[in-house]
Amino acid sequence: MSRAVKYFRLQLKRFFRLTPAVIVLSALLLGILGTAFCGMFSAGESDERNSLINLGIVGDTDDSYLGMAINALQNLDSSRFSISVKTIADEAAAEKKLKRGELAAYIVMPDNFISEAISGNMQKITCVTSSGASDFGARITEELMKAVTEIVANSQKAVYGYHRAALDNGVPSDRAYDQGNAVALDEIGAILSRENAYEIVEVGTSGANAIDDPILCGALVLLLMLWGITCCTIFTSRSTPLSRVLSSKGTGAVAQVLGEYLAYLLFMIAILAAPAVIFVIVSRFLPAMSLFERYDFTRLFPGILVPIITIAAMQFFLYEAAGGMVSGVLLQFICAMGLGYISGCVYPAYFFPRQVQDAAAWLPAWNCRLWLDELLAGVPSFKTSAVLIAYLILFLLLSVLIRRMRIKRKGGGA
Amino acid sequence: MVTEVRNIKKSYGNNHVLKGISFSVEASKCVAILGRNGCGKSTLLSILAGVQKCDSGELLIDGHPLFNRPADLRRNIGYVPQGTPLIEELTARDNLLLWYSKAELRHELSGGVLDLLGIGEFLKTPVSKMSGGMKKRLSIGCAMQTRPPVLLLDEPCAALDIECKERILRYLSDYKSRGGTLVLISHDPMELSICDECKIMRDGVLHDYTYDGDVARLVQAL
Repeated sequence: MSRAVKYFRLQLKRFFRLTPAVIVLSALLLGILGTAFCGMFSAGESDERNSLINLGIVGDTDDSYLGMAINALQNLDSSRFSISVKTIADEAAAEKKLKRGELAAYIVMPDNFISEAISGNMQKITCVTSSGASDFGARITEELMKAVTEIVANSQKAVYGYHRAALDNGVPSDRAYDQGNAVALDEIGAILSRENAYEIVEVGTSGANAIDDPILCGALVLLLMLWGITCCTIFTSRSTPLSRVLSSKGTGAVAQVLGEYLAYLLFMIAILAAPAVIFVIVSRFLPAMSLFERYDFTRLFPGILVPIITIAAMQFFLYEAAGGMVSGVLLQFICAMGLGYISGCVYPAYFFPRQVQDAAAWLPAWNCRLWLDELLAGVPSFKTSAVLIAYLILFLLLSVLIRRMRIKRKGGGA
Repeated sequence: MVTEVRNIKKSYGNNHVLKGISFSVEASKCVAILGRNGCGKSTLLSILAGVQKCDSGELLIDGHPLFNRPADLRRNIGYVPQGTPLIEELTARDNLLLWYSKAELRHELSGGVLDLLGIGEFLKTPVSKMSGGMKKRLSIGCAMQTRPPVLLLDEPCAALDIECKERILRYLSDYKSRGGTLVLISHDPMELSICDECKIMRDGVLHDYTYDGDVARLVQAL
């Protein structure tokens, strides 16, 4: 057996010796994170009323009434959401923006919608949202209902007002009644068919501002990144003199880093597998819970392996760069929170300015979250997988460079 | 067997740490390298062990150059660096299994090198629970896997109590008496007692020195 393989096996053994410490720290981390997330979401529900929602409009938007309505929507501060409405040339472009997470939803306006509606011919408006955004769709529907109810009430006031004005101006009572009745019936005809006035379409998409999926994926990625903190004891008890002796005996920095990284990866998978298996079993026996109904955890958990491989490499690199325990823990925490924050693991990505989103799209945390998001929607894209592999290679290469520098450090004292 | 270090030079940028180090040691001899902290002693040892590359120079055993033959270098040179080259969380046995096969380990523990070092006494003890002396004996035990004819030690008795020092020095004397060559970096008069030659490293160059037990004179010479 080569020394590199022996070294890997001993590292694995060393990691598992530290399991109790890691489990205790993991439980502590989960407790803190759970409390933080609960607090954040309970506060977030009220904050969400003032969240910025990017809404796209495709189709015939030239009508002056519609323009006025869009303007009103944009300036409606008392709305449940602050809505930013963007006119988009065609549906393909809108769908692309939705998939990139730049839009919460887009609305497809039929041609001559307003003029047709005035004549009582209601055409269907299509509201396209991302998968998992049904909550958002329901809220849009609710807003539309409120708006329609408002219109009905005001229209009815106008009908009765007309009836009184006609009587006051000498129109015979039966004629005024018939005319008012005809207007009211026309309006009721239009209003009663309002359920046919729109349609919510959910597309399987990723990176969008779905209410549930990105939160789940983001929370998983953030949890995995923060989990690195619990392994501080593993990484900070490494021996530089041992690395030097191994190097002198032909087991260089590459073999050392690969051996330690693979042992760490297997250890991480083994530790995380236990709660994942419990979760999958529970999801089988308690399918009535909305979370278990919504997600196929037997598919999601094996899928997490890909982000885990990259995140483990990142954590390994950070500990290699930091050296000490305090600096290592701090670096892990700062990187996990910083990357998680701008990568949409804490807040939906579209809350951030365009430039931040563009830059974050190349970060490992963003791509890990996106990979899980895409996995939930179907098959992860080649680009996302390629970025994750590139980061894996980069982190391992940097770790090798640092290890080599440490081995060959001037002097060589412990 | 003669171990010869020939004109080794090493620089870090403009800092010329080693400016042509040369010396030779015969079998069954021990040479001690003394010098102030940071003068380049550990750098020299790590170059001889093959951890670092030198800018120029050569290490020869019986006239055969070793730097361009890594397998020969690994077989002929044992290296015990400063600090603990061990995995703290694992037992002595686990650490030895990184270097020895199970059969070799059994053999060495029953009358071999590891038996001489008394490693059998703490074979199942985790390194984190060992004394400094045990750790040092175990480190030497790991370095002896190839039974190298040349052993390089960086301050082997640093921070050990007298009993531990005595035990380690007894083993090193035994190794020397069986034909081994020792090159050790030292600051310790007790370690110097087993040395046949002393050299002081100053300004990147080695100077011969005869240690007569006068520490004040030694300090002046440094």
